[in-house]
Amino acid sequence: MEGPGRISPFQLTILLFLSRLFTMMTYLPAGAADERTGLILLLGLFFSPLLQMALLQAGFFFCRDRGSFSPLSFSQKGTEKTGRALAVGYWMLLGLICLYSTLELVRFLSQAFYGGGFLWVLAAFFCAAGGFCAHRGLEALCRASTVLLGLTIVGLILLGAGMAGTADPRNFLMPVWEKRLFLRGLWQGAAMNFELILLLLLQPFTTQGRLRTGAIWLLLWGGALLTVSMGLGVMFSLGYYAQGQAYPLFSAAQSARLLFMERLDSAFLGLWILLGLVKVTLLLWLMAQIGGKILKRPVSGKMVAAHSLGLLAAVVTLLYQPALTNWMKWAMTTGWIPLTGVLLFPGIGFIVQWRGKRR
Amino acid sequence: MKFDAGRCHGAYQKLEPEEDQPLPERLEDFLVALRARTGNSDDVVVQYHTVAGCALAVVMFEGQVSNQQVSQLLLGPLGRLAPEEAQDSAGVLKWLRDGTLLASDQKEARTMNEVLTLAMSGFAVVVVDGQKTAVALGYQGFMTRGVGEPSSEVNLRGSREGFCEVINYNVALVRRRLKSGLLTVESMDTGTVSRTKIKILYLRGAVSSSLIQAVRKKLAQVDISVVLDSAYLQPFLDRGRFSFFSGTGSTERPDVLCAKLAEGRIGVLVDGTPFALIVPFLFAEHFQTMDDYTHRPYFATFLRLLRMAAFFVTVFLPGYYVAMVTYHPDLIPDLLLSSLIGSVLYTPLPAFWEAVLVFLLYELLREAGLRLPRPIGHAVSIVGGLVIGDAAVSAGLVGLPMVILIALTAVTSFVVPSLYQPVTILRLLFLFAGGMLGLFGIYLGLGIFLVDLCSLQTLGIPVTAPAAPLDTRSMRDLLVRAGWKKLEQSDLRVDDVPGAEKRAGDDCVGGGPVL
Amino acid sequence: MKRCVGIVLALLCFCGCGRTERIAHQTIVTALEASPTETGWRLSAEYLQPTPPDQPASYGVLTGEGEELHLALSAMERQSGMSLYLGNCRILLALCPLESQTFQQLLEEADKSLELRPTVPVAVISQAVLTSEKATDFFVGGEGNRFCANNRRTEEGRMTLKDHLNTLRDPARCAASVVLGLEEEQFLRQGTVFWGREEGSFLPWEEQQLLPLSITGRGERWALLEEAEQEVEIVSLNGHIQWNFTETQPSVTIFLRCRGTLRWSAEGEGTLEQGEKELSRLLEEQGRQLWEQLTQEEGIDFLDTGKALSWQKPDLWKMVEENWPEELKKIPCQFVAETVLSDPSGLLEGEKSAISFQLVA
Repeated sequence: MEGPGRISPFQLTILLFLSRLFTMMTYLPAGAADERTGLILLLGLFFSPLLQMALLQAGFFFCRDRGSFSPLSFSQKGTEKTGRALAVGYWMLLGLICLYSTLELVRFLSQAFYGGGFLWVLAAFFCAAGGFCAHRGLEALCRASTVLLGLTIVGLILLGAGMAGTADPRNFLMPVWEKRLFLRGLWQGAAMNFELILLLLLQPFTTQGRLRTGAIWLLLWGGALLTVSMGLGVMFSLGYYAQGQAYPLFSAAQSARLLFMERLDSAFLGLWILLGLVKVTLLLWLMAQIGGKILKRPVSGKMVAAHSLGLLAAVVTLLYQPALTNWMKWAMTTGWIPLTGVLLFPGIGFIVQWRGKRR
Repeated sequence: MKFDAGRCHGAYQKLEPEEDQPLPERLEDFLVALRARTGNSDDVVVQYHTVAGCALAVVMFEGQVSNQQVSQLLLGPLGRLAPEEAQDSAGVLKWLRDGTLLASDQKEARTMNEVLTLAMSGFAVVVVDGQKTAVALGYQGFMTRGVGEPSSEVNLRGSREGFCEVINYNVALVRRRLKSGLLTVESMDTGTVSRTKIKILYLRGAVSSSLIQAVRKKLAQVDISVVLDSAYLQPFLDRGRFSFFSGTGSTERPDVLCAKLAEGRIGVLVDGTPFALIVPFLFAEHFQTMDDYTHRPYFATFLRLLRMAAFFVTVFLPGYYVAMVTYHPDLIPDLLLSSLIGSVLYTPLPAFWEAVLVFLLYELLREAGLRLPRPIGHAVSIVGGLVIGDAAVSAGLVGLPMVILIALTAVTSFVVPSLYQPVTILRLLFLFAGGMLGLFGIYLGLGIFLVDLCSLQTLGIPVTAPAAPLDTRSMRDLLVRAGWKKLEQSDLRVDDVPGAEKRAGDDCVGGGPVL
Repeated sequence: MKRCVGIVLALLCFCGCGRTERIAHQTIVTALEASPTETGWRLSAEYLQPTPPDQPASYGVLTGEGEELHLALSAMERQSGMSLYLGNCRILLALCPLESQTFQQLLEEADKSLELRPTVPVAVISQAVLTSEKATDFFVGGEGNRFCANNRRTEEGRMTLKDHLNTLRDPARCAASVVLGLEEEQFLRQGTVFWGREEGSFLPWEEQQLLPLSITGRGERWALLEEAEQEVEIVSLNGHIQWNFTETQPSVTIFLRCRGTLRWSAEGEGTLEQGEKELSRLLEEQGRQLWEQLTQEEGIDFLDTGKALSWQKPDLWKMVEENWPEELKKIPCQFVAETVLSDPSGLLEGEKSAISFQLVA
């Protein structure tokens, strides 16, 4: 596994974008497909980057003094214990995100394509694949993301064109303004954007040490635009049918039609699996790096394997515990994770460091 | 045959001294040492002469030298040598060395190893009694295949010359095309027993010094007893860990090697094989041929995209088909459904095993056709076609769609012959993935394959460059082939690709923006 | 390395060994027919019988009953001895009375428990088709397949399960279904059912039904104009709904824009303008008749005027949405048609030219 400073800001942007895309494709904000409320919610989502950027700037401010923009830097004297505690906190946050992403992917695959069975087999292979790719390193993942971006663009174009073919303008319902819904959309955009944490943690691994503001805006607005487009696509393509669908975008892909292709769900499946692999690989790699920092050991293949096995164990446990899974889904969508990772932890580190300097 | 792969290295060392012996002064001692080293081999030819009162021996190997040249150019003038021209052994040596041009290729040998190596390379080595230096005169007369059309890389337009087995001729073929003083050739010997000559070629100014040093170092670490082909050296130039793809390429064409040298690569020629190594070799270059640069850009682009599509078809199609038929029949178009389902139901094996069976049968036929003498080879193809194509389907052993599928993948696998080995194994792996997990396995495998490929580096150069990391400047010769006016705007050197490791002492300025 | 080989070999055992059982032990259903019974539901399925590849495909019929649809499905599976695979089902036929709730319930259960594709076409039938007495190769290569394939390509046609559920749940729109009937081994469209809030209204297929009703996408393509003695092929017929809000009462105007091509004209005098006027009048009459029959009598919003109202006046729509069928009955409607005909073959000009030639001669 290679050391830091080996990926370019461009590569990091693509990587985070693809990771974000997985969440967008998995989870359309509740109610976005609802004709009545959907458009206001989508409007809120569209303006959510403003809130996300505000959160990020606060996070950058808290991390600034450490020179490397990393909330994990233990180099500052007097912050080592706090830094290690924060690292443990980040490790757990990332573990939750990784677990949630894997659960969603495995459950969806099982339901959509394997008749509800095969759960542990899918989970085992996916975790093993994630572990293998994480072992290959961040640089390999970033390079692969460049290629995957091309495939993703093709896939999105196919999906978009297919949904356009089945879109019915009469599915559109003129929205009635509701401030509450708009704010909810605004918040949901930030609440489900776990990549804000990843951005904060991965910036030091770039050759320039940080992303430019323009790149961050591109990432945030690109994600917002895609989310809104997908929401609109689902709305126009499915209409009221989308309500009650666990995976509305998948249902829209099933109904999509393009030229001789009567359905596009296999394209959706391919995109989803590849993007899920990118996300889980990135999270596993980052967890291994943080684990190495906590244990003060170099990151080895065994450490990555241990993380992968741990993920598998957690996934298999939760797969057969629907109550726990439902709680987890609720917990992941309230927004406390990005707040904790972007504001709380860096804030604690900042305060401890400031007090240390005062002494 | 290379059965022991160097495991009997110790045995050779017992028979050959660890250190090279200097040349004995006395001729008799030399002859004793020669017989001891060669085990009194019958093909060692030693001619004794006395010239100007000095004894000398001409050491040759049967079949290696041109007898006519030896007699006319060496023995004749030796016989006519007047005593006043060479009064003693030193004078004879001086005469051999400087006096008359006896051969265009003249070397000196000071150790037994050098004498033997030169003699086995077609030199006539003249050892003078009382001298510690021998003079080797190049009178090569061994039979060679000559320069012919390369069999593995056929082009529609362009040179028909390919490398041959004689390393010096190969160097000449390159030198003729790159008439530049910057072209540098370094010689080395590899193989502790075979002492195979290899030559490292590069263009000074185009290649970084650290890359050259790295190649030299890696080649110096080759510890095989016998090196018979450039492929023996390939793993030593690659990165340590296993990978399906090699970061070292090979070519039989001198024009291709010249083009690569101009891009800052290093070529390695090995005596006895027409295949030259190119290091580093990027993955995208497997889809490039010399014809791309002789055809019009639009057609070259079309062909290149076709090759890439063929690669994906040959690797993924069988697995995809097995996955669809086994796990996702709802993805099969309605019109095909009944025939595909029927072909699956009425054959004794599941789709996966059927695919593996037909695939293995095809590989057997291919291998048999390769090994058999040509007159019999035709019979194999007929038998193969009848057995697989007709009888097996009629007997219900395999389904017709499967035969068509494997035939298609076989044809597409030959579109990119340099990738045949990894493609064959990857195809099997994706068959496993599709048979085990369906489309999930295929896509997961694709992700793993991509990440693994992107993690490869050869001598610090990412194998997937310039696609990943992305270099927009290089895209003009990746998926598409831009016209020459655009290509000539700037040189693309392999050290300049993004992601290339910059080492201390690199004299190659550049390294494009890391995107 | 040895370990890897061992693992691969072990995994090989899982490779597709049992997977062919999935297809061999599943019955692939190509068409499904559902009807309510006194105790629940009755399902009939046309399925693909396994035949060797060199022989033509053959089909059979299975039937099952149960309280719920999935129980009826289980009954069929017990009958066949294998599980049913519905991913390739090409059509869902509903044989049910004209009760909107029953129909909606059928479709929702089918969507939830049968795992049909959302794009599977849905049609209403007047009599059972999938019975053991009838020929069973309707939907693959037969008449049924031809019908489904042709109609799938229809623009704006809303025949799919997804479209049905969408419109049934949308109070601003009218759900409609094609009614199919079997006549002499041929599948023919017998008409259209418009599903109101409580009941559906059956409109039999008539010749010269020109208006683009929501389900068929387009009406009859040919119009015979008796007064103008012309036959016109309708190229496009678009409608635009405009709500008018006055102090007294809102009203709705349906603008119809028709483009057609003259394909035949009787000998004698006639002009394009005559044809246009007659066709416009025909369209307006048909519109008025349908409005009276479907909307004013039964409250069926067959032209989705509610959707237009929800766009123009969302606040007003919110108020009337609950009781829309009753509100709609009271609203006056006017149809205004505008037709433009073209004569590319010069049928009318040709006549004039002939006359001119005679005059010159």
